[in-house]
Amino acid sequence: MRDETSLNPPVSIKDGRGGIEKKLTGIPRKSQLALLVAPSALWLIILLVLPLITMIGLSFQKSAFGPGSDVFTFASYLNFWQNSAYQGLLGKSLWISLVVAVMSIVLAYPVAYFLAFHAGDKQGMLLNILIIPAWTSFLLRVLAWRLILGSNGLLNTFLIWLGVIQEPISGLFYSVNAVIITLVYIWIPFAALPIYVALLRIEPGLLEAASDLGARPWQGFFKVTLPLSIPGVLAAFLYVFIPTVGEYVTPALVGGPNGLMIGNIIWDQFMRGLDWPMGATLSLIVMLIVLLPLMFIAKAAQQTGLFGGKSE
Amino acid sequence: MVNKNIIEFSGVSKQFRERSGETVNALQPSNLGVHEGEFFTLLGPSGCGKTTALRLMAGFIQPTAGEIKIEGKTMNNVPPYRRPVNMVFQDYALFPHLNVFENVAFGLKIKRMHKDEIRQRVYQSLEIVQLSGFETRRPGQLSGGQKQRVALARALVNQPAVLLLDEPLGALDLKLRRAMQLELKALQQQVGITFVYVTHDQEEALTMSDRIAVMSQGQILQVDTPINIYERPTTRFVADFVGETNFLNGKIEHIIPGELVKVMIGSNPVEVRHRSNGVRPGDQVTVAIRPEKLTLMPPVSRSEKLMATVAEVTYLGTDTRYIVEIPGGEKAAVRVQNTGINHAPIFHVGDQVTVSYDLDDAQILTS
Ligand SMILES: Nc1ncnc2c1ncn2[C@@H]1O[C@H](COP(=O)(O)OP(=O)(O)O)[C@@H](O)[C@H]1O
Ligand SMILES: [Mg+2]
Repeated sequence: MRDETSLNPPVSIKDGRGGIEKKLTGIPRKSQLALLVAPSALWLIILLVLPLITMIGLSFQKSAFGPGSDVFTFASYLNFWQNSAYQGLLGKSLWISLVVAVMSIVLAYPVAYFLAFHAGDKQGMLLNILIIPAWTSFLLRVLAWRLILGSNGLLNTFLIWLGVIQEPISGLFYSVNAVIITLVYIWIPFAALPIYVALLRIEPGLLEAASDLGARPWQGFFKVTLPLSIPGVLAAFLYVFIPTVGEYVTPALVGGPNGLMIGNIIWDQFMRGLDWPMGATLSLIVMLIVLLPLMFIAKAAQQTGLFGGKSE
Repeated sequence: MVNKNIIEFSGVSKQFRERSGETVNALQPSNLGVHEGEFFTLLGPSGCGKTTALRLMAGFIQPTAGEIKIEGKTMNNVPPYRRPVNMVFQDYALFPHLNVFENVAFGLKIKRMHKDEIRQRVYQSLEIVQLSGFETRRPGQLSGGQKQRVALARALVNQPAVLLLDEPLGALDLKLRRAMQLELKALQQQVGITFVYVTHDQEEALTMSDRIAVMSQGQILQVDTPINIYERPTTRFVADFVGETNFLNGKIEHIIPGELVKVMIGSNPVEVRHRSNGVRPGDQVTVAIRPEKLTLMPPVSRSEKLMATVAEVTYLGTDTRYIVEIPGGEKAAVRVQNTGINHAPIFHVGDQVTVSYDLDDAQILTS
């Protein structure tokens, strides 16, 4: 009935290895594993570990270039500690990311729910309709919102035509709200997908069991469907929250001076202020703060067996 | 004693429309009455419509035609959550995110029962299924048999008017199955709730049921007690599906009303007790008789006896199984217990034998 093949979670390593193992007989088991892991390990080192080490080093330098580059100092960290502007901006970025993540999930959930349970034959087609916009240029879609939210944009023109307002509302554009609206719009498909997959994995028999035990459809939703889709919701949260904290393109394009986020400041440190150590420090702090909820969620998931571990 | 029907089907049928547009008659128009307090079994091969019948009772599907009554009330268009029945699902359908206690308490919490009463009733039903102490386990940490018990407790705790069970022992190994069959039967008598039980295992049905409905291809063929289903099958299908049966095709020679019917199997006369099922001399009929109801004796030359030749001998420990050939080509299986002097096969391939049986043990089938 449902086309699950395309969206199932990736095959576990255990399943995947069997086939290759046959071709590699003759090589000791441990070396086999090393051989298989080597390419991805190399990528990880080049793309993740090395830059991270560089960044950590950079954050303790007095300056990126010249004589100051050999001086070890906590100046950048001290600067962050003492400068409430940085902290305020970080807090605001986290707040915006939280709002964006929650709103994306709230809007994406019904979409995912409809797709999983009520789309019937059209599931595949509707899924494509949901995903295809995500393939078009990110920049293009952000710019499209300029056309909608701008002073002479679609929304203002429409409201004036309706007579609801006389003057264009300027707060729509170049504001925190514009950043949030744009980002939520962009993230909805990404939030919907993991929720959709989690919903697909719920056995229909469980809802019948709930109904058999006296649960009305809405009770069945809150007691069975929703709790069982939590892994998908958490995944969606991380998909949206993490990249949003470091977002700088959208605020730069639609945020205006009030809509700036910490990513914009980091960008400035590197590209304009040329204070690379400060930029590196801010990046690391953002990264640490983002990792916290990630670890928290991973731990909770492990304990409750949410991601299929201990449960069926 | 008048048996009150707790579930009643009047002309109930169910058609499914497949995606290809074809319709499947999962249940032909059927009448059925499940008596209050009995252990009622729907028995039939896979795909015959047992689950469909059960799901109609539970309300997960609506009948294409006909009326379903539970406790005298029409249930058409009444959703599952308003029906006084509970189901034990084939794959248990336990909630994986809830522990054993929460699973069992699910129905009571929905009913907003008081916390203390929920506690008491959950503990009590876990005790009945012998799972005390498992309250905080997750379904993923239970064995198949334990899951089955949780599913049972989760349904029983609601004290339904009828408990519906869809092959609840299907996933268990044989030994556990046997033990659970007896337990379930004892449990049913203890709690006094009507059970409607689905199985494709005829032995299970015979062991546990007060009455059995045998189904085939969406039809309910016969509803009767286990003894009558086994001893007095009315159709060839029932005789064949429940236990092993010899079918001998022949023609009715004459009838002595109330006494006996004489059927010619080829040139051999076979006598059967006459029961009024509307047969007449000259009719083509099938005589059904179980292998264990036949006995073999050394040949005696009396024309009313059935003569045969031993074609196969199989020693089975407790029994010996013979295949005998009746002149004219019909074959019959005979099962003889290896007791007393018969402790070993006493006939051999090629021996002439007389096949004898009690008149009452043979059945005439017209369909
Ligand atoms: N939802 C459905 N859609 C289409 N056909 C179905 C559906 N449910 C059952 N059937 C068909 O109805 C027939 C009876 O099925 P079922 O009641 O499940 O049999 P049983 O439980 O005796 O094995 C089968 O041929 C089955 O394929
Ligand atoms: Mg079935």
